[in-house]
Order: sequence, then C-alpha cells, then structure tokens
Amino acid sequence: MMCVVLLSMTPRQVAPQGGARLVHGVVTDTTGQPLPDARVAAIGSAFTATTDARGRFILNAPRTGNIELQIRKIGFLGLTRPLRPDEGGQDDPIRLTLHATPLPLAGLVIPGERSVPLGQTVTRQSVRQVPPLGEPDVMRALPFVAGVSQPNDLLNRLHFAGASADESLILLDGHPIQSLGHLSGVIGGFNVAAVDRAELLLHHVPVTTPSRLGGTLLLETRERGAIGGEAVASMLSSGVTTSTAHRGVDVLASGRLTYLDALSRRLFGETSAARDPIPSYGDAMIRLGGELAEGRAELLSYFSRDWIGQRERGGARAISSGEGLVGARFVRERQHSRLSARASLDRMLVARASATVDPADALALDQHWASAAITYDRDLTGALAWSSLMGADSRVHRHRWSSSADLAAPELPVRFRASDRQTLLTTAHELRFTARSTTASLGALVSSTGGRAFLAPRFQVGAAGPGGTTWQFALDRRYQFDSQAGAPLDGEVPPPFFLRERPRRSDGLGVILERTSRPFASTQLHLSVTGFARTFSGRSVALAAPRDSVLRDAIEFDRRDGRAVGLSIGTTATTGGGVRLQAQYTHARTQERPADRWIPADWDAPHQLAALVSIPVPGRITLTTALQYRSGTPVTPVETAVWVPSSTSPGRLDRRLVLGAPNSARLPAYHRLDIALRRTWSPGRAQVTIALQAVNVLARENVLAYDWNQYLRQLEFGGRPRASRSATPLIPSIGLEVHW
Amino acid sequence: MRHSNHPWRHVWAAAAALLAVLGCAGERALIGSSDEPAIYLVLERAPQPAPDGAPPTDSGLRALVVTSAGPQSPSYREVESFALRRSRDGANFDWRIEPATGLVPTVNGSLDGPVVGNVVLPWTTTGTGLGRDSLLAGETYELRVVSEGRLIEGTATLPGVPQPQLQVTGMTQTIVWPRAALAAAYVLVADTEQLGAVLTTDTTYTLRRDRPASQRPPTLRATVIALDANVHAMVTDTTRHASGVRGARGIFGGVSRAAIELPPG
Repeated sequence: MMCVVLLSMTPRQVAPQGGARLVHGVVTDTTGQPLPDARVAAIGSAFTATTDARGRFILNAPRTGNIELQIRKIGFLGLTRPLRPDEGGQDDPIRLTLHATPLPLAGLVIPGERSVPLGQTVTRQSVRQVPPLGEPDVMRALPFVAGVSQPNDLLNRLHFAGASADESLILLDGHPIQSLGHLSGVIGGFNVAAVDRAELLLHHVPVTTPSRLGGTLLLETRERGAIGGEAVASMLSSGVTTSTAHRGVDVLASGRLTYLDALSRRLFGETSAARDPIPSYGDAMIRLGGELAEGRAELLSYFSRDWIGQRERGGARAISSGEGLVGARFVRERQHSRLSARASLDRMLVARASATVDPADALALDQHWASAAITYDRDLTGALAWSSLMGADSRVHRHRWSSSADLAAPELPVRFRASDRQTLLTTAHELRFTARSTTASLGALVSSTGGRAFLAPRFQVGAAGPGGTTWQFALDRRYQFDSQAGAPLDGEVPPPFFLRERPRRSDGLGVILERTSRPFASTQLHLSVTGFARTFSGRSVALAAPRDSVLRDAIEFDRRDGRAVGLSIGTTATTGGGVRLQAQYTHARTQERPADRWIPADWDAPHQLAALVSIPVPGRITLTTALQYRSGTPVTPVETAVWVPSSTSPGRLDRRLVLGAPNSARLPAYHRLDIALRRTWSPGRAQVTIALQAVNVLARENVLAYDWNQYLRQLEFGGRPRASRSATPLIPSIGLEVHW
Repeated sequence: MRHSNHPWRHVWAAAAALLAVLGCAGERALIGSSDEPAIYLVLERAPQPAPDGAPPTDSGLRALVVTSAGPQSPSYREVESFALRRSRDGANFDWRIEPATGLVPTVNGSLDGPVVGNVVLPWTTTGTGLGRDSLLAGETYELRVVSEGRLIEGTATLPGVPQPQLQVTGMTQTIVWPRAALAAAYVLVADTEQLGAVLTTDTTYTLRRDRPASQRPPTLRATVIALDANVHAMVTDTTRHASGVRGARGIFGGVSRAAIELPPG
C-alpha cells in the first residue's frame, strides 16, 4: 500500500518501456549537496521520477524526438533543459544543478508537484505563507485548496469534496492517525517544521492508499537525508526540529510545547486561571531511517497530549487527551519490482486526569487502531505495471462516560459504557498503463468484515497535451467502516468514533484540467479547473438518545443519503517582481436526504472564494494577504411561535418557537481577511524570520449559530442580533523562526 | 486551450465571472411568518386571584384567537363564532367576542394570559348561556371556533380540584394532596420557594423555604394546580405546537387549583 508514498524514498528501478530509454542522473544544489525529493519529468510525456536521498534518479524517457527534462523542487528555481540522446547513461549520469529561490514560494498549492493523480500538494513553505491562527498549521492552509471547506474556522474539521467532516482520513507517513489536533481541534497536531508536504487526495485515491469517503490527507514528514533544523516560537508554543544523516542512517526529531497556560497565569493571575483554566498541549515526533542495499527501512513515533485543569483545583475539570503512534515501514526495490510493508499502532485516549474525581463522573474514550499492509509492484511489460496489496486493520474502541456534559453532543446518551471491536481485511489490485503522454489505472479494493465483502473499483486516466495543458479524470467507489457520533462543539471533547459493520458508501467522479502558460512579461500563470460529483449512501448519523440517566451500551444510528457536486476555478500567477497570487473559487452544492426530501447539508456553502496575495516590499519583507469568503451555512429558520402556559409563572404565556423547513435559510455570509508580514535575515549560515500576523484583521463577527430566543429579544429591543457562537475573532500574533 | 500572450486576461475574466456569481448569492430570511390561526384557551373554574384582593371585574377567563404571524408577536384575528359546549348535555357557554386588531402586546417576550384574550366568558350564568361558574371538574367540553373562514375544534376535560394539606414533621414541612381525578400532573407554586413553580407528577412536595424573607409576601401561600392531559402534554413536550386542538396551533385544555396558607418563618 505504500508504493505511492515511498516513491520519494529511492530512485525507481524501472525497465525501459516501449519506445523508451532509461536516463540516469543526479540533482544537486549549487554547493554540490545532493537534493532528495526533486521531481524530474520528460516534458510532454507521462514519465516522471523522484530523486533519492543522494539526489539520484532514473527516468524512463522517450527514445525519439526532442526531449526536454524538467526538474523541480520546492524551494528551488525550476530547471528545464534539452536531453541529448547520448546523455544519462548508467555509467555517466547526467548532472543537474538547481538554484535556491531567493524568495518564498508561489501559491499555496504547488502546480504540477503532485505525486498521486488528481492530488493537490501543499508544502511546509506554503503553509507558512498563510497568516496563522497563533502558529502555522497545515490544517489551516487546506481551506485554500479547491474542494475543501471549513464551515467552522474555530475547529480543524474539514469537508473534502462535499463529504461530512468525519469522512476524511489522515495518514502520517502512511500510518493512519485518529486525532484532528490539539485543543479539541483548534490547533493542528503537528509541528509544521516536521512536515514536508501534505498531499490531498479528494477525487481519486489509489486502491493501495487507505481512505474514508471524502478522501485522504497524506502528511509526509520532512525530507529524508536533509541536514539542518528549525527552532520556532509563537505566542502559543515553541518547538525545535532537527534532522541529520550519517552513513546511510537519518534521524528526524521534532518537539513542541505550549506555554499558553503559564502565560495566562502570569497575565491574569492564578485565580482567573483556576476559574477558567487554559488548556495546554505538546507533541513530539521521531523518525529513524536507514538506507539498505536495495531499499530503506524506517521507524516513526508520534506522540501528542493535551491537558486542561489543575487536578480539580478550584473545581476545574481535569481532562487529558492524547494520541500515540508507532509505525514501521520497509521498502525493497529491484529492477522490475518493489516490495513495501507497513505496520502501524495508534492509540487515542481522552480521560479525566485526576484520580480524585468522583467515579460517577468518569470519562474515558479509548481507541486502538492496529494496521498492517504489504504492497507488491511489478513492471509487466514496457507500458504496464501491476500492484497488489494485502492489508489488515484491527480496531478496538472502549467508550465510557457518566455525564455527556464534556462531550456536549445532544445525540449522545447521558450515561454510556460499551466496547466495540472490528477486524477489516483488505486486498487490492491495480493495473497501470503509461504511454508517452498518457497514464491510466484500473483497480479494485475489496474489504471484508463481519463475513461480508465490499468491492470498490477505481479508474483513473490522464494525459498531457501540447502547450502545458494536462487533464485527468477519475471514477472512485469508497467504503467507510466508522462513524463519529455527533458533531463536536468548540472547546469540547469531540464525540467518539463508533465502528460500523455495515459501511457507508460513496461513488464519484472527478476531473481536473490544468494549463501553465509560458512566461509573458516575466509573469507565469497557472490555471486549473476542477469538477466533481459524488453520491453518498448509508451515511450513518447518530440518533438522539433519550436524555435520561439510564446507562446505555449502544448508540442508535440512522442512515441517510447525500450528494455533492462542485466546480472550482483556480489560478496561480507569479510575476517577475516577486508578486504572487493564488485565487480559488468553488461553486458546490451539498445535500442530504434525512427523510423523503433533499435538503442542504449543514456544511453546504455554494460559493467559496479563497485568495492569497504575497507581495515583496523593501527591506526583505513579504506582505501576505489572505481573503476567505463563503456563503453562510444552512440554518433552520424560525417560522413563527405558539404561546404556551409558562412553567414558572402561572397566568403568563411563554413563547415557543416554531421552526421552518430544515436548513431552508442561511446564516450571513462568511468573510475573513488575514494579513502577515514576514522579515527574513541571514546571519551566517542561519536564516531568521520574524512574522507579524493578524487573523480576521477587520474583526468581523462571522456567525456560526444564533440562539433564536436571544436573537428575537435583541430584535425587540432594537439591537443588532449577535451570534451565540461566532467564528475566529481578531487574533494578532507574532512568530519567530530560525533555520540552520 | 489556446496559447495566450496576455495571461492576466484569464484572471480578469475569471474575477468578473466570479463577482457576477457572488452578486447573485442572496440570503434568505432567518425569521419567517405564518398566516396559520392559533388559539389559547385553558379552562379553569376558579378566577385568578386579584393581586390586591379586590374582586375581579370579569371572570378573568379569556380565550386568545390570533394569527401566528412572526415569532415576535401574534396578531389578533377576527372571530366569526366561538362556541364551547358541555359534552354531557350539550349546554352552551356564553362566550363573548371582543373584537381586537393589531399585534398582541408582549411583555419581555411573554403574554399576560388573563388580559390579552379577545374572547371572554362572564362569571355567572345568564339566559344566553353558561358562565364560568358552571365549569365543573370532571366534565368534558367541546370547542368550535370559526375565524376568518377557518374552523378550529378541540376537546378538553377539566381535572379534579386538588386538596393540598401541610404536614409538619420536626423542621420539615411537606405539602401533600390526594390524586385529583383526570389530572396528568401538578404544578406547585409556594411563596417560600426560590423556584417559581415546580412541575411534578407526585402528590407530595417538601418545602425548601429557600426564598429570602425580603422577597416573601406577608401571607404565605402554596398553590397546587392540577393539569389535564392537554396542558401537561404541551408543557412537557417542547416540540409540540398544538395540544387538544385541531385546525390551528395552540392549546385547548383545563386546569384546577387550590391553595393553602403556610405558617410564617
């Protein structure tokens, strides 16, 4: 299953295909240091390669015609040069040198850098261009990508191509992880310095990559073999990341710790902190890798923890949560084949931290996810290749609570205790075809649990046309075997996932058309058009449990269908003066059918616009402005009221609201403008950057919800209705980055 | 796609198309309105006690017939006919329509039930029909209203009158009452209690006496109100929009109440 992810690990040993030859080469920077993870392509063909830790690549290039090689790497100027027929032999590899870019990168999504068909790539450098909520966060950058929406910008809940928020999967170096981040999903769970890139697979997920219905977010840790590090500090936390390599062994270590709680105590005093405790968090990651004779082995460990409250001091609720991942993967490459294997063990835990708490008030959510997969790739003929996967997932969930107040999900029973277990076996097979300018794949994934099997076929085709135009098309069927019981609220523990023997299903198609113009007046323009349509069936939604104190051992789920269709138009422009623009407009409709009628889904936002402009100003300063606009999310309006006997004052009649058709109105549209200023120095061999930024600089109140009774009272008194829950307020912050 | 020598042309075209689309994105109203009729009538034999102890100027039993309109305030509705009939013998009550127009006045988002009604029942029985003094516990009543061409019908049964007593055991004061016939639940209101009213299906309540002395009236009372099934359903099921009535939103039900004096201190 890791064939895609591991493409960047070692140079691919491929047999020359029909009408093709092998080109050997090495990519270095201007100091002669090898550059890993550079992408090498033969322009006008579908042949690409990725350099290994020693900068080596082997490219399957057309044998005839005028061949141009294009070499790209994040942080370096792209290189395009012709390839002579006598170059690139095994004994005399072609040597290519890339120059580092003096300025940060262009738009957020890097055109043409994807490693998976129809994928979209966001890099660490790009994430840092987005004015952050306290500190740079991969999850905060994704709403700028076509097809991704984030109706509540206080939480890292993302909707992929019309799917619900519990229908996305995150893989860290190929290992599934369960938590969305710190502070109940407000802050991403990763130190961005430890991440190299995020590949977003919405419209096509290869059968060898795990997925939920909406898609998969592949997070790749920092480049293998790179030597250096970063220290970052923000108002929320500080972190250090360092990577080194010696004699074929490379290590990446990264850690981050918040001081928000300590800062709060210093600023507002102990009493305030005890009354209104500030959550704390930290995370760490270690990756140990080694180059083998024919491959590579790697161990990854990730750990995160959140805690709030001070051992019941001042009545605070002491809750801790965290996630731990241990994963190993191995790849062996030979001339015509590749074998890769992965094993992962992930545990997510939410529990009351204090031992002094009343046992009747307990909370414990404990989710284990063990999984393993073996993938075998084989080149069959010149143009055909075959991949097979065998995988197994074993998940155990134990949930227990004596008061649903911490979970704040009205669907959940007040008291609950149950454990859930699932074993899922998977096998997948895929046939790939690569010709001069065309790629195609046809495969199927079979999942089996509870004695039933589910077949998910997938098809993808793409081609490169003349003049830098490419198109790709995919048909996907996906299954999902878990479901989150309710939508989380800001600042509350997210409701747990439950394992479902009868899965939900999604069928969909996606198409991407792209074109990169030739430079004109030092300006290069990239245009993309993305369309998608998906249907969802058997989506499980937790039914509201009776609000009594009966101890329950199961959650009742309803099933409902959904559908989504969308069209995105995006552009990235880079001028010779260093001005960069990325703009993305998406028109999408997302609907659900809870009864006999289709209604807008809670996260439906027909119009979404995200734009990012980066302008260099004198003094090595970069000014970045980010604008987000979207339609207001659907809401059930108040139609009228009836008057009922007051339960507290006899003789008085109280208003009881009568709601209209579900989700038939919309909250006010969402607008947010963020600004960031980044100034960079280069003392010695280090690079220092200071960033000043403000999120929601216009201090707009973006409404997430109204309390209708309060809303009506405000109208009756002639005031402007205020939100009962609003999105991110104006948040200024400052950050420091030191790279070496 | 054709090669372009003017890349920005694409950007401006896309931006123009985008603005055109965004301009069409209107927002629908969050507050709606309705022309559905709504009614409020809770039968009760005893008149509401006047705050100053003076005898009531009318029976105090009024019905409210309105158009639901928006959620902020209902508007009075024209009533063509209003008939209340005793099921046992078909005897009619002497309801009198007091035409009213415009919005029903609200106070802090609530309505003053005994005051705002637009149909009133006299206290005493006359030659034109029965008065409020003819309402009896255990009787079933049928309602038939025609308002602006809409027919509203309903049925309600007046519950029995509770008989509360105070039991004192040491420092504990408990109000107990036998089950009232046809009562689905009870509301207890006591001048000694911080809680304004307590809804219960029990027939006993131990006083907490937690209301500060400064907030208590000179004479302390406890009132037990028996609710019929219609009122109980409307009060307890907060998703209901109608109870005991067909052809309209609202409620048609009955309550009976009795009060006792409580010792000071």
